[in-house]
Amino acid sequence: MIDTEDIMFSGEYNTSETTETMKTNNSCEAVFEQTTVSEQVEYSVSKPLRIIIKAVIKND
Amino acid sequence: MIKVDKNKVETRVCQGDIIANVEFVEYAIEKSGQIEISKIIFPYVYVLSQDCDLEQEYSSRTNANSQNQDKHLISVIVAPLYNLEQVYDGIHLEDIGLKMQTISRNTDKTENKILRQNNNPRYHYLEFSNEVSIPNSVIDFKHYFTVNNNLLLDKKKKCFVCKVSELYRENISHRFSFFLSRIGLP
Repeated sequence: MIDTEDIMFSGEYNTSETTETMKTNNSCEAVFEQTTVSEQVEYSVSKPLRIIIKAVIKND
Repeated sequence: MIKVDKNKVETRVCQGDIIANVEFVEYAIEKSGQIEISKIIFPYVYVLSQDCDLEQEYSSRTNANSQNQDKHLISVIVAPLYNLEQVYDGIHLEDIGLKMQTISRNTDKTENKILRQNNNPRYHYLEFSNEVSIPNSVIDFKHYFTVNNNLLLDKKKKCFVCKVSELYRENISHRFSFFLSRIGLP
């Protein structure tokens, strides 16, 4: 079983380790750095599990 | 025991599909330059949308000569499957902070019979054969949600489990529509 705390991660901007990007309405670029889980992880859970992603928008 | 088809013959999402590890986005907010996204990953979901709608949508999307997008869907209705043993103990949602009602696992008890004989409109009990890698489960119609159809199709390519056979999925569809249309009298 996966512990929720193990896969809760918060974003921290880092150009060299970006894993996901998205464009917001005002064309800022949000960069997600998953600090404890790599993007390739396919979650497999035995019970419903909540994941919270936090990310910082970099405004160039 | 229900009959299922384990072969992924359809290239589209179908009614009756059971797909693993499907995500539901609870919210996505932006505040003071920080984005927060909360999502719940469900171990298994059952596809409830009408199969004709799903078929027409797929045909329309894949037909380059389609005149319009009239048949396109915004999303697909699914409902979670919960492990029966966890449902008995009311712990199937404990990892998202919810404690649920317990149900006796004594098969002679009325509440157990009501669940397994599908006499509770909220639930649909599914007993799988050993060929399927899912424990006996319960669909909870009250927890239905929707998923973007493109995302669900991508998920199906990697996480398809099986498809419930025709007569059984029609039964589930009928019970779901009954659940939604029930009238609460004072």
